[in-house]
Amino acid sequence: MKHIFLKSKWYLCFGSIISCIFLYSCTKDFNKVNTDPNTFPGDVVDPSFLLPGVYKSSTLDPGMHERMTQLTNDIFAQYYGNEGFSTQTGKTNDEWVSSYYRDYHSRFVASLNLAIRLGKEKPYATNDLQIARIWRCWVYARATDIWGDIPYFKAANGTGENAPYDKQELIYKDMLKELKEAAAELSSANPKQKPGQDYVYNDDIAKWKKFANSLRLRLAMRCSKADAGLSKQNAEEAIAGGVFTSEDDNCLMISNDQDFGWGNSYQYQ
Amino acid sequence: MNKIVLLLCSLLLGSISFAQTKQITGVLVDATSNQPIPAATIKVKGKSTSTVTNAEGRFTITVPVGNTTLEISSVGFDSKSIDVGANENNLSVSIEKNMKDLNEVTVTALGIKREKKSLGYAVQEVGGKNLTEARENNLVNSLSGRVAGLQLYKTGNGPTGSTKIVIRGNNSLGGNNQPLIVVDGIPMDNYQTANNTSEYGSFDGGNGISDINPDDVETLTVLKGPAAAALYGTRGGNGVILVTTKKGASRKGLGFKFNSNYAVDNPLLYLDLQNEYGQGNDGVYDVKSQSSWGPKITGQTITDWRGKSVPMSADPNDLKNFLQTGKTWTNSLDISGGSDKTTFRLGYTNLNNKGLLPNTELKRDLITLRVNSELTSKLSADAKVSYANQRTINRPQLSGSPSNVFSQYSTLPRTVHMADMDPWKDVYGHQILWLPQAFSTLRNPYWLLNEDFNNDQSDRFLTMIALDYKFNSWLKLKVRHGMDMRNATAESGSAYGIYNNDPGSPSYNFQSGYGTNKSRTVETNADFLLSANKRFKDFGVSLSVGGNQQRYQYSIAGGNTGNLDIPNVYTLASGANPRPYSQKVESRLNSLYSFVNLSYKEYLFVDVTYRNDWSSTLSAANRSFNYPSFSGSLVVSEMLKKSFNTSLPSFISFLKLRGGYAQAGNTISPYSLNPSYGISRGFFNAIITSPPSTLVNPDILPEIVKSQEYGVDLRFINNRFGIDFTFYKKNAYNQILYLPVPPATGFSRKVVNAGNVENKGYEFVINAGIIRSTAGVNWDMLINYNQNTNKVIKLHPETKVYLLQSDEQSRAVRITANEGEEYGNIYGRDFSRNSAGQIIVEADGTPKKSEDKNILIGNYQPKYTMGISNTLTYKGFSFSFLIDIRSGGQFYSQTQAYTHANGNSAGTLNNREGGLIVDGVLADGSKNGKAINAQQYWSKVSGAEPVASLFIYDASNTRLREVTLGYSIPNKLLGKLPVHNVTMSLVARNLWLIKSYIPGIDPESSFSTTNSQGVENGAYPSTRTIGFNLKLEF
Repeated sequence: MKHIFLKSKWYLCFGSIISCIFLYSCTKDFNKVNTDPNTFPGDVVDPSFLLPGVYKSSTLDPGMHERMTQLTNDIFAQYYGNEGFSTQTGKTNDEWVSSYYRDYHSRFVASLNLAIRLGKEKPYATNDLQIARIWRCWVYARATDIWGDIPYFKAANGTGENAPYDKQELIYKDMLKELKEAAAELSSANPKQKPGQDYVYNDDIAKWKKFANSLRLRLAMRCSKADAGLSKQNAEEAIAGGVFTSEDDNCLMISNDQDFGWGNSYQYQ
Repeated sequence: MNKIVLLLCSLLLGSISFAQTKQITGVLVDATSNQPIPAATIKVKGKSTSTVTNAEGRFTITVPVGNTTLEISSVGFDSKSIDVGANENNLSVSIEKNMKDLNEVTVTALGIKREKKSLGYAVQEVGGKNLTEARENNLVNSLSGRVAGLQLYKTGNGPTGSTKIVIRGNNSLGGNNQPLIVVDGIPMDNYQTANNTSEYGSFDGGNGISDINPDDVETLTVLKGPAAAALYGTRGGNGVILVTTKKGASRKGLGFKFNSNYAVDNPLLYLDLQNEYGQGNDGVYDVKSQSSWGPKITGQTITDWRGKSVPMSADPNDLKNFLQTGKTWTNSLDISGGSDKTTFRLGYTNLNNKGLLPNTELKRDLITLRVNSELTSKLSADAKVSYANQRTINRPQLSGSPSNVFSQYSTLPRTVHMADMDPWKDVYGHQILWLPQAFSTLRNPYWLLNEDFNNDQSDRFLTMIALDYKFNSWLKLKVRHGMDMRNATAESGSAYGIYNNDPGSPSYNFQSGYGTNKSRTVETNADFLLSANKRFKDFGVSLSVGGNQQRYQYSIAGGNTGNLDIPNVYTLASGANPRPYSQKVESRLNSLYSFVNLSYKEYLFVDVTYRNDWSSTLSAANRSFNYPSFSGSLVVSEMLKKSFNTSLPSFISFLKLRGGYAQAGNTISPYSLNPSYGISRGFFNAIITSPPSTLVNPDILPEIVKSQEYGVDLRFINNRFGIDFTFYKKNAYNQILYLPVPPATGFSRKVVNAGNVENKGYEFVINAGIIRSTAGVNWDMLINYNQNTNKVIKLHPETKVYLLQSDEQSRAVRITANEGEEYGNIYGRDFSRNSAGQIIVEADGTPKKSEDKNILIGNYQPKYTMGISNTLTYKGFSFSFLIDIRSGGQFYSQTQAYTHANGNSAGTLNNREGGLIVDGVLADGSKNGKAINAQQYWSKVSGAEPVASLFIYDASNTRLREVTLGYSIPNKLLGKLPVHNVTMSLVARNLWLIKSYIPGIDPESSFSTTNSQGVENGAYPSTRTIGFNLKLEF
């Protein structure tokens, strides 16, 4: 046994040194090791994956919905009163408003802009791209009606750079243009969407078209006093394109306890 | 491959010889102190046979039949030869301390043994004996007060809780501040589970270091900073704790050691509550009130929440009667043996702990097998396998979780009794609550312990195999591989149904659920070290080159059910909408290092080390990092003798000066460079993903700690007294900071490298042989002292504010590390004050709370910490005690804020009937004259968002941490019994909180191990442990 060791000793020792040194030079696969297997790499994200999160957070997020819709907008509009909150006297609550401002950029617009960017590169996602454009108008319409001028054209474009404020007039004009184009480009002839992602209209493209036109009509009516010509033209085109005609056309999401928590208490928009 | 098999075979089989030999045993003691001498070499003259004494100074050696001579040598002692007669056995040998040559040896980075005098930095050792007598469930807790500069942040999370270790202050703002744990040269994952605990609850799953068996530990060596730990590079910035485990000893037959420890735990403190006023408000009894602002208790009859007519009473023992005595029984067996070439040790420890709360349990089985073998005269092998199995039933729920029994108790009106809540369920199986309307925050404590549950189990393997090859007298090679693998499973369930019997609106609340997961962590390390040692006359040169490759993998898979459709059936299928989850993490770290140790005449020593790391968690351009260190040591006392032929005054026996500079790092976590789009399955089973809210930075660098330290080691009167003083300063740069960005970017924060966190301080270690008497009475004292200032010198041009906690952790206070301030400042509300500092009082006579939540009210770090340990021995008796002192720093108690808000605290007794005039001024500047009562006052200033400055306490405390009183039965009394070395001890931990400033709450009760400390909420009471320890050898 002894001579085996004597013979093997140099092989053993040098073999291990060489193998060790070999290992150290081996950092080639480090990039692969440091690629997170639990998440999507940026370019693989399917635009349709980005939409459901925004549908939910921009409408049914309970904390935000209660504060912005119920305790601010609805109280201001005197839909009802609630003496427990400062907004009852017409004061805005800075904490709520700034939290909405943060959320709408980083949660809604960032997701929708990414879906739009990716959708332009992926021919199979044409309809998702149009839906993202429509939903972005819905989100922005609300935001610009609250704040007036807001960052719009360069906001949340993925570069990480801050964006300048844009005039509300330009934002309205762009939204009307976006809705017009999106409605026109939506088509059931386009590739089918990934099923199960659209729980607003369940992949019914005709209804999305109606939603786009109805939203366009709403926005056209809202700017009727600022720019009557623009308003008239868009309103007429929207109606001609087809707007909501029955309850079945409603943009409606049915929530439940488990997924929405106390947001389930707010079943209206 | 065949060769490895052969190696392993010979390693395991060994080569036990049965020639004409016999075995003799003995004990080796210090001639002056009578203390046993461990690690001394006993050699048979003229033979190659030798052995080493164990921690108790005992040895067993195989000698030829007939007369023989033993040669005894030990570092720091004079060598001695003794003749042993043919029939002599059970020797008692004493040797004299060698005062000239104090060559104490200690373990340093990479497990290299070196003479202490040659080190240019401070290291400190704790012997294994300190860990096994007055035991702790978590080994690390035994270090309290034993190492200067090592600060433990204990949690108030019960017997299975975590403890945070910080050496010489916090380096990192957002990252890890705990040292690396290395067991026999192999890094071990000290996983943390108490990171997510917040004001709202969670539970503490313990931390990784508790899987080390204290019975296996020979010594713990603390490398306190980068100077000592630079060879650990990117993992060494926070210091390193090196654990050296026991080896077997060559002897005839097998040596058995048995240790049994039984200990009982009782709360050290109970909350300081009042027992004079009952449930209600404004002095009026109200069965639905959650406060104790009711009438004075005079024995009046009331209708209680059960509808029974009872005399109103408060019971100071409500909680005491609910709790049980905690019990811990630990048994360990140690078998060792072997020939002069091959030795083995098999250690087994079983721990069984029952907590203060009924139905809580912790069980541990720890097995270690270690084999050391000299395979040839040049090749030796060391192999070890440790297995740790841990089973936990019902870890306590913490903090503000409704399921925390202790927070339930503290918010219970004083005249509502815990004992009345048993039975805890009605005929329908629904939970009975004393106030069903408050079902969202109330739980029945009996229900919590009998119906809800959490269990976890883990199996952990630590393996190590090392081969040492000596090419010749000056060149050697070590190759080593180690693995740390942990498989864990956890489950928790909450039972079905609370019935709200409010007559106005009866309703059911079916909140219930079940979750389970399995996880696996594997870390492997392979390393080599080639060292050359040469002497050239007066010069000694040692040059080493080595490398290490670390691989880390973690995975978890599990699921949650949401509400259970089927009551009391705890499977994922029982849930209305089960949701699975899984995660995988992987990282690698390659390193190469080299170091040179130079010495001149054995009194001047210079070390230079250099390590380069390549980390997979960094980008290709930034992957490579280097960490240099330089240190030196000058033994002045020897220099004067050897080179100047003079000496210091005779009472100074040793003087050493040392100093060094080093850099080490702090790793960044995997996957932090690239944007990641998290995936979840949401409502209607849609796939949901969203862009990251953090703007990632692919150029991020790891944190780097630059440190310098200087020290003096001075000993007097033949080394009977010694002081070792160290001054250090370390600065941690490249902090990973998250800065807010404008919302219009679409991100909420960005990550940058910036900042400079400084720790500056000094520490000293004093050794004193206070009494050395010829009658055999000895008293030794060891004092450890550290004073540290932890300051944030710089953050980033864009921010001067850094929150150490997430916003959710506490609504009342914020723990910060702001630029220009001390790390760990506590901010919160104060009273609203005018420019003269007077409290502003409102028209109703109550004081006004400040609008501003960011008023500096304290800092969680101590000014200094000190441990004083004493050992007295006389013949077979030994008595030791450890006093642990922490001075300075503050602690915020949310429990106090709640018990003041609801009138439970004894602090609310004054002015119950009115007459409280707040010393302050009204808005118009006039002095307040309006009297209010205690309820009006405390309801205003305490609660969830209180005047935090009222509930911030001085965290200074002094305690009798540990006491042991032991007696060893003299072996001659044991006569021919097979047993020898019988030691019995009475042991106690946390026996007496000598001085503290928080009524009823231990200042060592924070709820997390994050960098945000100093906040308590509903803590599990800290315990006083008293036990009995029996040690036998066969």
